[in-house]
Amino acid sequence: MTEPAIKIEGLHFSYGKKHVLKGVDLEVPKGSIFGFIGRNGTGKTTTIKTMLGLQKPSSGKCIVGGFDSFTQTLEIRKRIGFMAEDQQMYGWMKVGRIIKWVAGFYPDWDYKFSAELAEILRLPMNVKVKALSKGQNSSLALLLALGHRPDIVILDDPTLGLDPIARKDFLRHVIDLLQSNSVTVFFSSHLLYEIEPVADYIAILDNGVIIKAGKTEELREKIRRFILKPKPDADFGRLASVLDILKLADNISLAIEDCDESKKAEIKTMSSNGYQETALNLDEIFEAYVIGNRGDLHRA
Amino acid sequence: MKIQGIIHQQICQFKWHLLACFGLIMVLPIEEALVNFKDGLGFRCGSMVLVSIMFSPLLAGLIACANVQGDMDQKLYIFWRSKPAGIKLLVSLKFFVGLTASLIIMTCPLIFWLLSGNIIDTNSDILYSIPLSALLSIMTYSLCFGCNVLIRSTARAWLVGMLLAGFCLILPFILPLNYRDFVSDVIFGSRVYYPVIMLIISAAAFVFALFAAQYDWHLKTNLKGLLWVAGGLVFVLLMLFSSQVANIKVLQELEIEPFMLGRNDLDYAGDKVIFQEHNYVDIDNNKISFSNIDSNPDDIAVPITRPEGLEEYHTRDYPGRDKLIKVVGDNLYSFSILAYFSRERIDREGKPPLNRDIYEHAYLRSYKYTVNRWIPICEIDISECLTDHSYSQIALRLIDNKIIAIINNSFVLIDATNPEELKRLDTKLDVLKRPMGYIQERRKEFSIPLVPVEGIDIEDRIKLSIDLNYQYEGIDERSIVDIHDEKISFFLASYYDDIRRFDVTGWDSENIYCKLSTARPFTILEHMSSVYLGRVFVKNGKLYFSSKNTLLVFDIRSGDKIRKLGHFIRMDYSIQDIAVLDDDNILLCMRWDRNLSNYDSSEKNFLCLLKNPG
Repeated sequence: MTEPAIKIEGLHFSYGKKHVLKGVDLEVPKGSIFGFIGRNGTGKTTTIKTMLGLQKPSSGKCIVGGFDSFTQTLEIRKRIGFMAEDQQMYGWMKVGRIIKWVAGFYPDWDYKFSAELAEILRLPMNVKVKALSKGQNSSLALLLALGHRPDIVILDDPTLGLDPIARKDFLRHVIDLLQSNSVTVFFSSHLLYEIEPVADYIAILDNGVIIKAGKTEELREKIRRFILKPKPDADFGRLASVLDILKLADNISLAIEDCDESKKAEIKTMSSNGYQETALNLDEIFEAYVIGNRGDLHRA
Repeated sequence: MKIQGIIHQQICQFKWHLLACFGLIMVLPIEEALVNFKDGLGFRCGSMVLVSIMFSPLLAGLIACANVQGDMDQKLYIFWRSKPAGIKLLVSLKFFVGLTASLIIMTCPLIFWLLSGNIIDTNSDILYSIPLSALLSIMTYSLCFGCNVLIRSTARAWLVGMLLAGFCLILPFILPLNYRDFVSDVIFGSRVYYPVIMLIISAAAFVFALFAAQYDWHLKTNLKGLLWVAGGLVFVLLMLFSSQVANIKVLQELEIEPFMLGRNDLDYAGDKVIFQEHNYVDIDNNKISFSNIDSNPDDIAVPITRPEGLEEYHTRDYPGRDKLIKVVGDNLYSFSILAYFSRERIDREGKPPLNRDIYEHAYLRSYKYTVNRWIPICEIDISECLTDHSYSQIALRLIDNKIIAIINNSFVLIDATNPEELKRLDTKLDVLKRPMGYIQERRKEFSIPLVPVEGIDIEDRIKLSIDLNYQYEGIDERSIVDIHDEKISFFLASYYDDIRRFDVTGWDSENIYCKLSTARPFTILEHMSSVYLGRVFVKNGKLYFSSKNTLLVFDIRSGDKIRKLGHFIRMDYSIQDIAVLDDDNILLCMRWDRNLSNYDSSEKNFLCLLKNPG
């Protein structure tokens, strides 16, 4: 088995008395696009900062590209490309100058590749950074993250603040540039629909812990929704893997994880007229995990 | 990491701030030069350059804040920190690039000054302030740099940096810390402690900035909080100041009636104190009262008259205003040296004539207090002591029943057991060595010449020798020597500096050997007082230091350190005389004088009874 690109074990972090990360465990396979999703304020950026060695965790371990985040910070930073949410750069610098300036930090900066990227991303080299549009700003940040051809790219909500067209444009570039180069992409976002089409793997972070992680396709297959008319004596509390129960007029909607034939048979016994089974999209899966009603029939 | 790229970015980033500071620092010298040019004095500048340089520490702080502010915004901070840059190297580069730039800017007025060609006219004291300002600029720069790395807000970091700079410079002089003594010992000189403090603080601020950046220390502040902190600091400073002012309790302050005006001096007469030569000061229940000196009207002394042949001479007496008094039974006697001199006129070609006093006769006189008068009753001719007819140094001390009368380098020892019949015991001419000045050398043992007087106790001889060496006049009633538990120490106060204790380590037939034991630096407030250095004396284990309007009392016996016990200050007053009473309280003769105009005299005189602290 190959070594994961990123491996996090039991990561804890606190801002004063506020516990932000409460034991995050994560493995990001090499060459994958990994979607890291969670609501605002759940600890996504904190996890990323810790991965980059920008802050020291209370406890836990974080290995990025085979290097320890806390003791081999410089090695990690040489090998990764990072783009922060709403990335700000020196506004007074011209695009060409900031590329040169950032290139100075990397011994392996690929000037030819960065020039190609600038062309692909249609970046004007003689314009000051503060004069760039939001979309151009994101493109520049992407170029600065990729110019040294990193093994791992970490994107922290990179499309924050972009309009829908700019967002699609940006994502298209990300897919074009990264998917073919076997680069590991760690993509953090709270916009699930932008992750869904590209992510091979998903991890859902809620309240400082990973509540679900796995391949995107497997999640879609194993988490199913059943719509049925329940028998008067139906006891949904007996079902162990209910993620969400919703009451829809006379019917009930059940979101079930790790769904197999035995569970389906059990659900059938609780229904008065059979059931209707559908797949969930990522948005619905996320909703079921994060704010789902787990088996409280009265609430349903 | 390519260093030149970082330096380029750094300079580009704060070039406008540098130009603004350059404009600010050059505006005064250029204006002065232009005004001079307009007035026909040529394009030259002078004093305004120094004013600009005095302001340079403030500008250096601004440059420091501007230097890092561009990188300290939270999101920019993550941008460059996420790059593979050695944080300490990067911050060090930024620090030194900014420091060099600010020092270059500080130098611009000097270059302008040199080019204007009148630097030679400036005196060396002012020139000394230039490197001091440069060091102060380095300190404010470093503190503001460190603060901005921590606080990440230009204005707040500058405010805090400047407050810290002020605090660092003032605090050591408010608190009587002995670190300055330590620093002086390390660097073998007491005048460079300011530069040492500034360099140490600068280095500490720089190291702090490195760690703050490395470990991402961030102090979140708000303006209200900072103002509270600033207010708190000012409050602490004021408290520290106030603890030093007027903490000696005044038991009574008595305005002296006009009829008592005259000689506002206090003289010791045994266990009593005499005020204005004719009244005992009685203290009862912390109240001052006066009583006449009793004398038997029938016991009228026969006054001696001026020796024959001296009618034409001018006279001068010592101790003059203060009296050296001896109590024998119910009678009071005092002693003084009376010298007779003629005045010679020296004509000088093309210059006004000079007067020179030629001393030809000197007498030691005793006086007896009889019917409200001090009547001269006996005298001994000590004219032989005037070996060179000058009267430059003179001293008198009563030790038990013996008087040592010193004129220049000669002395006479006189038996004063019966003041009405003085007896010469010994005379030694030109045996006293030239007194040595204030001790600069703080580490080595040094020696003081032992006065070759025989027939008095060795401790008294040592005491006399030390007092004579450092005080000369005034030793009739005061001493700087403390003898306690067979240990002999003496104390010196220097202008602007400190009070030092020297221990006597030994003696032989010619010298007393001494060594610096400890020093207690003056605080900033005491510095201000010590400009008018007055009296320093030791009595009953306490050191008294008085200047124009201040009295400081120190404990010199409990522990090795000199510990301050009390501070008394009265603005617009001047201390005329001090007496430490038998009950340990202190009596001051003071004059209040706010006579700003010559036509409106508003002088008042007071006797002030103070509770001796400690």
